[in-house]
Amino acid sequence: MHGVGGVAFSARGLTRSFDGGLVWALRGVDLEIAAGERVAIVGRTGCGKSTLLSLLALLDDPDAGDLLVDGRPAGGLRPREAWRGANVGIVFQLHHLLLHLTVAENLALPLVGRARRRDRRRRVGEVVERFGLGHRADTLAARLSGGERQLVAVARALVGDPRAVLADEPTGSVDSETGSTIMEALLGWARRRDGTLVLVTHDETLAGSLDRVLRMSDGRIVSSGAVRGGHGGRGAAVSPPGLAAGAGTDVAGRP
Amino acid sequence: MLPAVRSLLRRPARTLLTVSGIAVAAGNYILLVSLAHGMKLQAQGLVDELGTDVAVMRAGSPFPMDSRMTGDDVEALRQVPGVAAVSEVVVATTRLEPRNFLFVFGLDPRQRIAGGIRVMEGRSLEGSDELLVGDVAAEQLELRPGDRVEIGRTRLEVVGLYHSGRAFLDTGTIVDIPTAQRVFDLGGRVNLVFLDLADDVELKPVLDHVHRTLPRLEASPSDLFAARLRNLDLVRVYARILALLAVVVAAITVATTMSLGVVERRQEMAVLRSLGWSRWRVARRVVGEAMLQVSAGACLALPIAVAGLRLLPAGDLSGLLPQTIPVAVMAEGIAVVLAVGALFSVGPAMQAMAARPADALRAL
Repeated sequence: MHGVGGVAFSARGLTRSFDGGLVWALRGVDLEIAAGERVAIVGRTGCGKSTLLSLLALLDDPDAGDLLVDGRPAGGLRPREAWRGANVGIVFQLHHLLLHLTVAENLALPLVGRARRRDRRRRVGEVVERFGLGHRADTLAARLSGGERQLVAVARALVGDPRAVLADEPTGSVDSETGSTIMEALLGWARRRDGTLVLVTHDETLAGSLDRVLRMSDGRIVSSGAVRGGHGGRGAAVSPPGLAAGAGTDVAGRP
Repeated sequence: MLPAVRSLLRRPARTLLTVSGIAVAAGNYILLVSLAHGMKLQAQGLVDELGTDVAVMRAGSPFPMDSRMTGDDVEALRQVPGVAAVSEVVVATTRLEPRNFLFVFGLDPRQRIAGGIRVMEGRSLEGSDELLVGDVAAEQLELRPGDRVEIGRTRLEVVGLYHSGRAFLDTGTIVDIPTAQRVFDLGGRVNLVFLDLADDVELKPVLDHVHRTLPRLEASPSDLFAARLRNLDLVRVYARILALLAVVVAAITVATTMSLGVVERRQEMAVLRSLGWSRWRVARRVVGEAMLQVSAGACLALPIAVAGLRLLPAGDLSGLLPQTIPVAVMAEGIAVVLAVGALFSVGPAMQAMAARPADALRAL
């Protein structure tokens, strides 16, 4: 549907504060994520993971710093919504489904304005089957269980066949079985599409199943390293320039 | 069910109240404009019924009752080339218990314009101090031939009841012209004169002749008579302004409700933006929901206006009120409500456009 392969992200000195500078979420983040790489961002609550993800998704703007997407300045990707709709799938921490819409209608939302009605139906039908949601397609999202909602949210992120998926704790609020299903879906998509997967998580085991782990603390990336035996085989550790000495060591998803 | 409908039905009470507010405002608009429109139609209908070619009033008179034309004026009109017949009319109002407002028409029963009036009971006018009563007025006033009434300190005898099919006439009374002039102290003057033109005579030269030779008079084609009644135009303007105010108030309510809805759904708007929806598409969604409510209100406005017309205590004004709501007024009402609704949905739409996608990721 779109260009082959994933999206490459490159950031230098990203900072982002809230409440007029009272709260600093990011304090100069440098990172490189190669196209098709599967990266986990880990760290304590409030360390800036979700803020970083929203900057990568072009949902928000940094106060300072440069972000390149596929080698182009993020500010030049206009209109942003169109670029995001065509290239990025987002999985929110909370499912953020529109509860008054059916499963199929929720899944069609990213395709509105991008695909004709017939194509939307076909794409939604495919995704619904792939996720085993066929029997729930016409069910209102409000009537789904929490796990089902998150599954639909992941399906919604993939329905547009994106080049990158940015997922914020996609398994954080579901049982382990649903969590496995969600991860299988995301990793399956990444393999099939050679897409870039950036996943914010508290789950070190989950992080260890990806190519690389970026560890954040207090608004900075404090370590970055390839995971031994990760899924992707793209585990060439990319140590962002500017990291403190000692960073870039193999964190292997474990402390 | 449409997703937009489902979205609105998430808060059914709020939606119902909003739609009801719009419906009442729009119904009020249609009813008020219909009433004003109806007065003009009734006045025009009366003139149409007379079947004359030219209506003449004193120049500058806003309403027939303000117009005064002397016997010399009437004689001068009779001399205008091409005029075959001249009909004089006195139009006055009086109070006759229990009616506070009753039309009294002064007509010459021998004139052609009295031809459409059928005496249903009793006889026609034969002398002075006699009164013909329209069948609707007779029922309201409980009058029968032989009864006596006092108008302007003059006792008149009811000699017959008539029906013309025109509410304007049937809710009023008729006396002969000398009686009307005496009762209403007109000193031999009349309010209106209608001209019948001879066959094959062009209308415009006659109008030009009247305006040139009798500048104190204002002649107009009979079919445009009502258009010249400036007071009725004023009534229509006032009715429109009042009705529009009600619609604007309703639209402000819708805008406030929609604005509140946008605030409540800030996260939803942000999610849509994060899924690739443009600002404009999000705004369109808000406008669409607003217009859905406005449209529903506009549809309900029609039965409300019709019911209002039926339930309106017409009383003394029954002759002036329309029997039905004109389609043009319905269309105007709906168009005005849709236009005002669209205008006032812009604010909430802009509010929705301002939703920051990043808010979808952060806890609100």
